[in-house]
Amino acid sequence: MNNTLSQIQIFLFILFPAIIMAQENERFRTSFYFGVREIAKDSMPDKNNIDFMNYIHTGSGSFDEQYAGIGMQFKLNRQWEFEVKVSVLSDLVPSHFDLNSTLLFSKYLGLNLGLFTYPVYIENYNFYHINNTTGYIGDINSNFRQRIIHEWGIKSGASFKLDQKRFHGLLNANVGMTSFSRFNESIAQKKNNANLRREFRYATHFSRALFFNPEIEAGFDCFKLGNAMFGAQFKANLFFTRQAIDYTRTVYYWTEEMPEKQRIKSPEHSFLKYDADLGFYCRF
Amino acid sequence: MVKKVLVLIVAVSILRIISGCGDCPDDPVYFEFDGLSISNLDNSGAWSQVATSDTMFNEAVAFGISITGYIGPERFKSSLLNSSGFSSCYAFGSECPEILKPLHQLTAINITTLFPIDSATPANSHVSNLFVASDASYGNLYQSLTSLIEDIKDKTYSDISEEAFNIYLKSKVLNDKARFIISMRLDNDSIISDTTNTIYIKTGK
Repeated sequence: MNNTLSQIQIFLFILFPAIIMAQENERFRTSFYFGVREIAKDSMPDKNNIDFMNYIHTGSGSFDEQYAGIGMQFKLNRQWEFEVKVSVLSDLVPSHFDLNSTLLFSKYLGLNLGLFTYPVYIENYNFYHINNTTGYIGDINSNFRQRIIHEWGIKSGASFKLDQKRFHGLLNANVGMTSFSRFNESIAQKKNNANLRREFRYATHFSRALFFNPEIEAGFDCFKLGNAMFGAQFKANLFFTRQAIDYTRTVYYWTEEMPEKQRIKSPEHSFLKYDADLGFYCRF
Repeated sequence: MVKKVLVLIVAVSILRIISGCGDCPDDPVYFEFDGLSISNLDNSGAWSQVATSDTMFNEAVAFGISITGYIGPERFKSSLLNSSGFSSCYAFGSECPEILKPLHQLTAINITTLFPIDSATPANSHVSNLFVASDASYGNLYQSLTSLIEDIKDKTYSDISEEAFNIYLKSKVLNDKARFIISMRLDNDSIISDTTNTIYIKTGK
């Protein structure tokens, strides 16, 4: 809930100044789109420590996550463009935000700056303990474990634009820094036929990683209605990084007194996300 | 003059009725801890449960403890305001829980083993430090007996004058039998005591 609130605040913080600064020749573009998203990452064998990256939900490989979104673009002048995109997954929670500003040096070339966040599901991470602990009830909490973490990042890159009559093309080649949001998790265990209880408490850290994020966008003006131009659009983007989820693990035996604390550095995994969507836009 | 006095009496009475007919009473009713009962626990699974058997695994010796109290003449101890004039009345009296508080607090739990537990713990040793505790509200881990006593201190109870918790032996019992004397010391130096059944120890897998 707090995350959603802060995301809305960022959204308003970016959008309102843009609207206030609007000039008479302002150009707005609103788009609606529906798309599919896929996450792929490599899995590594379980070792001595849990590796949360192994438990990121990746789907079946057939675009099993769909999203719907709305985008609002504002051209401040010939040089500056601002865009906000908000998407929802199947839970209908607006949790995917993408804020961009583009400084155009020429008709075709610009510099893109932005920040983004999108949700990632991790699930069944308790299976690490269930599968790797002998002599104990692996996880006393038998409920299905799933949580949403957010990938946060800032990006910058070159932007190539092409406006040819009714066709509009955009290619961004972004690089940036990203990290998953922090979270806390605990797994409680009990020794079989014995009183001994222990609890593993995990507190993840920000684990920064560089990423590469090419984006492509194509639009085609279809018809004009009054002063508004309506068109169809296609967008796709690729997000590639090598990422880890580092954490501090605290193990309690019997009571909360004298825990064993250890900082764990997890191995980096290849992480790939790709989105593709179709939609329509209205320029006015 | 008589009329003024009557008006004053009526006004005070109305105030007293209003103050009496309000929320549930905050004043606790005092009781005295006076009884101790011990039950065997089966703690072989994820959560302990009361067991009728006197057999336990050698690493799973556990007992349920219940300290019960009685409400004596101190029950009627109350504040001056609530005990003067009209008796307190409560619009939702039947829904108000009776707040109970022990007159004498628990200050220590002493446990003595009647059989040797291992080579380092012979019979008649004090073994309180070998036990941990938990109550229903506690999480996945146990707490020390000292911490439990701190939690019980100044605790109030609703309707039932009983404190219940479980205790668990941390050590592995190497003997084939186990039995303990469990004593509760109150802050007036009185002691409530009971002895567990003789527990027959079986080896865990």
